[in-house]
Amino acid sequence: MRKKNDAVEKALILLEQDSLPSEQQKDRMLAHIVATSEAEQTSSVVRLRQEKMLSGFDRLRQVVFAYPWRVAFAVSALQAAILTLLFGTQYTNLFLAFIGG
Amino acid sequence: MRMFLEALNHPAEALRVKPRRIAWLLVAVTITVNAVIGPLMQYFWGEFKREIDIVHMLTVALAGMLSYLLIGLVLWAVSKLLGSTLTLMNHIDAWGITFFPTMVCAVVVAVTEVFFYVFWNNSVWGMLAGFVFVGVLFWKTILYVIYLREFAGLKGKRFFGAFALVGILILVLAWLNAYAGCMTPVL
Repeated sequence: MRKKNDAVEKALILLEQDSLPSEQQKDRMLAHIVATSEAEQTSSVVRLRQEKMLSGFDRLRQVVFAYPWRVAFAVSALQAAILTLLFGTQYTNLFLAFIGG
Repeated sequence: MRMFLEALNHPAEALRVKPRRIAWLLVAVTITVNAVIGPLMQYFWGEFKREIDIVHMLTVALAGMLSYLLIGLVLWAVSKLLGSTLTLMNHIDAWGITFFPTMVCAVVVAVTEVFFYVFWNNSVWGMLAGFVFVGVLFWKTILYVIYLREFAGLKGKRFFGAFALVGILILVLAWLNAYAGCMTPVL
């Protein structure tokens, strides 16, 4: 009876040891983790640099594409206010002549 | 309603999803304002009592539909020429998303036509009309650029070529629209 138990115990210990990673495996895991984190860091640095390198024109385009009607009416409000101040009804009648033609 | 606001605020994404119902609804409203509501307003509140002319309404409505099909055809032909793989139906389903400003323009045109005396020689109301009208023009131009770049996928030289070519054809179609009696070109 006791012998049989020993055999089972041995088998269990063997199984446990087998499931643990060996030194070599541990080294490989560590190397993998270090490599991935390094790659992640460099990619985020590259992305940051790229974002900084985006020219003013590209940024403007992003804003215009993201808020089409807001940008359109903002610019239009500026032109309407300035040109009406400058030319008065001469300017505003222009549209009516065009629309109502 | 959520889809509607989505298409209003994020046209680039909306074009990718192609919500055909919203696109066609916008076109239908534009044509209706052009053909029916404008003349009705003119009849009830206009300075010169114009009679209601059903035949004219139908002609304008038909011209509007034809105009929409033609602009679809133009967009398809030019995009195809410059290397896009989209089908004619893709364009007809999607171009209507750019009709928010056109619809607003149709309403502005109808109102300024009927209440001409409010806006004429009045700097405040005139400025308001100018603000909306020019805003609508800018808006449509932005949507046109988004359409060609994001939906038709034309970049760089191809984009500028398509922009110029379709632009010229749009001017021709706008002139034809005015000739057919569409106050706001259905483009």
